[in-house]
Amino acid sequence: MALPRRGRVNPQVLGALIAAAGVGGLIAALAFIAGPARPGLFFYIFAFVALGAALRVITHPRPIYSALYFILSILASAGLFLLLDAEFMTFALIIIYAGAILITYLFVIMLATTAPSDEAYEVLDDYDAVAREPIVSTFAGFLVLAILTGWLSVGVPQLPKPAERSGDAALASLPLKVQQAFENAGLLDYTEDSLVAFVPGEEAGSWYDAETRQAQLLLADPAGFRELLRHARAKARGEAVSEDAEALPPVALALIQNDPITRADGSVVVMAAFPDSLRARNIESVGLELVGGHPLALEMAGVILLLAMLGAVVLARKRIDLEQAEKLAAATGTLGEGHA
Amino acid sequence: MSATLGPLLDPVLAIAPLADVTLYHYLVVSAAMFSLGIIGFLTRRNMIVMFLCTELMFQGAGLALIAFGRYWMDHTGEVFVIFVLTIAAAEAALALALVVLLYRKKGSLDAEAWAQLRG
Repeated sequence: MALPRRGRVNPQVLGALIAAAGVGGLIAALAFIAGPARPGLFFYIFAFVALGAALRVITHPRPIYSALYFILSILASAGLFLLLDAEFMTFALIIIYAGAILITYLFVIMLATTAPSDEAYEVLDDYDAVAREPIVSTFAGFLVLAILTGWLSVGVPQLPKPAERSGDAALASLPLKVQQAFENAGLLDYTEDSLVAFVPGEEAGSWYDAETRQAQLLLADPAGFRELLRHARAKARGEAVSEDAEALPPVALALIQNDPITRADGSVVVMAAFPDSLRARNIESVGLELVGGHPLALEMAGVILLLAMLGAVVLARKRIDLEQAEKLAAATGTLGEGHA
Repeated sequence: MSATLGPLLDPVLAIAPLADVTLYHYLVVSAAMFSLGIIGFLTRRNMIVMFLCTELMFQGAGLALIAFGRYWMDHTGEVFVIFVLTIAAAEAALALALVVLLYRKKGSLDAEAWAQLRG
């Protein structure tokens, strides 16, 4: 039970720090050596750091360290976001949370903390040092965790696999930019034997297998695409296809990377690289989704922020006139319960 | 360096095989972070740390949203996290203004100093 209690001295803090640094260095070395081969390693590192820092947020007796550990937790969560291909949210999280919100917290902690006096080197307020109902609360928290993970272990396997999504569903999830380019190329009317070409995506993607790791439909130049269709269909039928570079347009040749996969429904899937110029960046997709899909929510978020700012200003500038004695008492932290 | 050390590390990594990270792993991490936030919110008495713990819960929820968004290859999850960030910022501003106000009034950050609000 690491919840803070008054009077507990921690002589082993230094040792723990050294051990933590050693373990961290070991993990970093492992990551650098074995990381590319094992992308899951980074997940475990980031999750470990995020949860460890979160644990310290709730157990550290000093609020300022809690806030600093929270920043560490935010950074590790940002790492997890990066592993989830959410680059925009990674940096938005760091800038907004670690940069803006936590600075506000640190300001308030500085404003509203008892200053250390001369005789006492460190002042640990009673409400920081003593936890409230630690056993019951921890039990309740772990109960919540057990319920959540229990439901997850039941519910997640029941989720439809992205693998079972049809080509139409893949089309529906296309980024607008890609979809429009696709329509312009006249490639949207594909029949049951037509070919859906998927992007392999980043190699770090871990929970999609090669077939389902779809991100966008192939958008090459139409001529190259049709040539690719013909080529892949012939290959799927087992006909001899020319691997001669001269026989294929350069675009199609560059796109064919894997053997086509014939699915149960007869459609043929080809893993193909996506031209960089047409690959929708994460930030573009998020922007299209944000402004195109949720304009009302966006405006409401702006209004909420404005109202919160006004409310905070009104709250913070309210004066409380204390008598001189009360001020003194408040400053020394001896304001009695009777006043309440 | 990696060429020489890689084979040496193989038995080490074989002992602790890292399973393929699935959606479930991310959701468990997010649930754990949310639960840590709940525990902190219930146990800590410092109002500032209590609000920090609510931010921890926001973090857990945001991680779940982004993990699901990645699962479905849908960016709505990320857009939701943007709104969560917005609400977190608004909440932080209001809550901290309240905390400053309460601290000026009582000279203490103890949440239980305001126990009479229970009525």
